Amino acid sequence: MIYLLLVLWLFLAFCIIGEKRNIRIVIYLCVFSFISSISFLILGSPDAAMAEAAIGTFTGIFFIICFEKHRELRFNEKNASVFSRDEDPPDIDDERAVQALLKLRKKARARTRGKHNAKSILQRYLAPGLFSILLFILFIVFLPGGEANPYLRNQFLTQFSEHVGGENAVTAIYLAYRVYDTLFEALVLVIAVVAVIHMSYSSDILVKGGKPSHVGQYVVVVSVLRVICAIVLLFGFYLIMNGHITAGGGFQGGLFIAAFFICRYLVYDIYDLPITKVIRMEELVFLSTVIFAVLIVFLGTINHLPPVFHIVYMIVMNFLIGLKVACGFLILFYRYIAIERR
Amino acid sequence: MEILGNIIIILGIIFMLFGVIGIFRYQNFFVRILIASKIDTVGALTVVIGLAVKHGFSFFSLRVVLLLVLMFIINPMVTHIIARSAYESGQNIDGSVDDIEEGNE
Repeated sequence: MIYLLLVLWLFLAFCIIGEKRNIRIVIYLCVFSFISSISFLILGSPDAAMAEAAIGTFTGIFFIICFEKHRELRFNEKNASVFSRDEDPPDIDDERAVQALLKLRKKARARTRGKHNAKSILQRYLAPGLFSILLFILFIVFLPGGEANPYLRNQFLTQFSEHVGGENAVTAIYLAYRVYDTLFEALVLVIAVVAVIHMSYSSDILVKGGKPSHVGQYVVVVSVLRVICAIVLLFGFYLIMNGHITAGGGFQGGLFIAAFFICRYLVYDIYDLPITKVIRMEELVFLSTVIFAVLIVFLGTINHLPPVFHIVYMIVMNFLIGLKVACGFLILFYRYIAIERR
Repeated sequence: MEILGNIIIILGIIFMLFGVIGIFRYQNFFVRILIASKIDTVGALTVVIGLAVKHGFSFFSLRVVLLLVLMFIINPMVTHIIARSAYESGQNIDGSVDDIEEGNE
């Protein structure tokens, strides 16, 4: 069963690469994520399966809505060009032009449909099908045992507290076994922040005055948020400091710290943080995260160090990552405030 | 104690089920947001109370009750802000489906 799914998976991947029409790519993508969701479920990880299913559904719907809007826009543009071309004959009104356009599109569609006979379908799908089957055979031949190998999973789950320490296997994995992945994940946020600042560049980084947020008029919301504010900040630090014991960690805690500043803006209309300094601080924190992690890794694998140091390492890393994530989201949010109040 | 907790959790899931049916059943925006808030508040609160009852007096129950208080404060506020911003951006209270589509455009 799982082999059949994997062959289908590869086949769909090649189909996506070879396809030219956008709407078909989206449908292939949805089927692709559906198949990967089922295979995750068979391989025994229902959480990843659920995440994959949700991602596939939402991106599919999102893309299709975008295409609809885009097609409407392009249709309107075409209409406009038709009217501007036929300015002098006054007898052609809107209805008739639209009808003519629709007829043309129908004709074009019929022409393309005529092309799809059996031979062209075979030509189109033969190559990706054969190639995916070949890749799959290679995969089975060169994989020892030919099955999903549980060695790494058992290693991670049973021995993480000797190797890394702490009580949370997820933190052990993302701060010790897979620390490079975490660094690149943090880099993604830095790139996103740089992109947003670059796209919405303006000389006035911090807009003074302007119209205040609407939320300030909502009495219920303001009085509730005023209470929630402190709890959110406390909870963020709790998540960061207990990342190696309970669920949580730097990413989640940083998000909560950023949420505290968002609450503060919504309630009190204060956004007086010097944003250029926050940007500089985010870069510095990211650099120090990278240097710290790489230093530890080059000093030797972490299980050669004394066990007290493991906890310190995890707390410091969680703290740095949390600070970085908080800075990143804060910068994004302050950019949006600046655009809104302009 | 455990059976009582299970019964309360099943009751909460039934509340959620009615809410989901109601979202698809009605067309008016304000009716739908009322029903959606029922899922958020009543359904989730009942499930959390069921969890707390099921575990009896323990540290876990204390944390669950803290969560319950936060949900009790935050969820109605979220519904309030969505409904009020919809009203202020020109949504009619007795709006039919056509009105909603016009409002979106």
